Amino acid sequence: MELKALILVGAPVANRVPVEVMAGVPFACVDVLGTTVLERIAQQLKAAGIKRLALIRSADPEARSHTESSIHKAGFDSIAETGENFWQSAEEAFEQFRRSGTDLVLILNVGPYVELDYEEVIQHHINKRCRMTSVVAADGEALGTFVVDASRRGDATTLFRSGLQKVRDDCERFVAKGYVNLLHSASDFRRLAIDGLLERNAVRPIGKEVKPGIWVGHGAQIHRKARILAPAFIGARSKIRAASLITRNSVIEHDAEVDCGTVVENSTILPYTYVGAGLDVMHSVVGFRRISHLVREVDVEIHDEKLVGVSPANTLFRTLGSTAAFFVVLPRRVLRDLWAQVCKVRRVPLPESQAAPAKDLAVPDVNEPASGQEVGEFPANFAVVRRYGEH
Amino acid sequence: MNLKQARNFLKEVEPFLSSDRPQLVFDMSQVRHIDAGGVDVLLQCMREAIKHDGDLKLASVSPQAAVVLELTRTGRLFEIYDNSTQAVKSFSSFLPNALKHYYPHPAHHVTPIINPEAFVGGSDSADVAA
Repeated sequence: MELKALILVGAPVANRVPVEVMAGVPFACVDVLGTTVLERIAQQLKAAGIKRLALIRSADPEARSHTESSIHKAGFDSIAETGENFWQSAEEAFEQFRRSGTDLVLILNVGPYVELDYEEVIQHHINKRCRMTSVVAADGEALGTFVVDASRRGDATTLFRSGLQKVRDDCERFVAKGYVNLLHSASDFRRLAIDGLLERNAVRPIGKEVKPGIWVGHGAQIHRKARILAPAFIGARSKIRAASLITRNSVIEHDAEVDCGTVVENSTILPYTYVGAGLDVMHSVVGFRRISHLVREVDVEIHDEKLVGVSPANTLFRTLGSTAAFFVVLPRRVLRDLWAQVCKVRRVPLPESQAAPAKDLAVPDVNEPASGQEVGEFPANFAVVRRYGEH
Repeated sequence: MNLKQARNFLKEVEPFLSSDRPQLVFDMSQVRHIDAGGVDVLLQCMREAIKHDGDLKLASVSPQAAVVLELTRTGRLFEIYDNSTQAVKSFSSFLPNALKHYYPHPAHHVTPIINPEAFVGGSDSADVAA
């Protein structure tokens, strides 16, 4: 039996909260503990024996550059980029599968992250001898995963034209018993990372566990004066500068940089993100020049490179940038030190008469009680005068 | 608020800051974006106000601005109120009893909207801030 998978990313699903994106990039294409949800799902499918994978993604120009590397790493056989006619492309891909002699097509809308035994789902579909099987959560919510007989083109068309909302009456249901994260919001995205660090799901950090609960990716640079509290993940080639603190389930993804003295608490720093010096990043997802604050439930665009910036993806550009910054900072620093020294030389010491208190001035003895008055906590001649307003 | 806007703003506010005991409230309801330059100007204003024995308080801070203030660790330096009326009233809260007779104000209780954990005790924030 020939099986193929049709994976949909950034699908415009109707009657739902806005598509799960951050700065136009679907959460499924954003790294979680070293790699994307999309890559992890592709690996799971290949492990289940589904070798042929086709991808349909929405051609959002902003998202395209960020999702390119993860899609290539996942190893899809064909990639179709679509604009408004997303579902039409999906129909065409299904039709191609049918013509090439495929028996079953697994349709996955990669919005939610679902840990499924795909072999079990397919076996369930075969045993029930149904035309279509829909995977649902324990509460009955559809998870956007379907197994369809390739010969049932009409069923697939109904499904695609309704934006994965309508299925024919005789659709079989398979209840997913594993971990489910709908990835609707930045909070869900963050929860996925935390659950991975706490080993509540199968999302394992890509790196070496250098201390209990602390995973460090290949080539990560952690300053010896930086402090990292478990559980935490430091991605490959990321930089943690001096006196910074990474704590409470924080995740620093690959090629990110946390500058000196910054505290990252219960947050995720996305790949290629620069976080400036001396900042407090708390309960947030930071990346793509944005901060999604999870407690305040607000998404803030940051234009100031001193606070949050984006490092170039290319290593050469990054090295050149660092070198240029060094040659800009160095002369400025030297000039500032020279100026400070000049100012120090110019400082004229105060004459002795001004530096020392006047000897002639009679200092009243505040401890001595005024005649005829009792002394309480304060001396009787002690007064506080403070003017308020113009009165 | 970027660096250029912040400098213009500082020029406008300077006469108030250099007065005797300035008591200022910045209504930030219209501020949606603020960068490091904007935060720097707020700190300069605060410094000048304190230098002249006054104070600066913020009111109606948008969630976007609040995130940047928290990010730059400056949220805890300011008293922040839900609206400018509360912020203005709070100035007279700290008058000595003798002067309260001349400056009566209705009893009210203010709660900072930003960084409540910075003020130990939550509802006692006004006392702590005093």
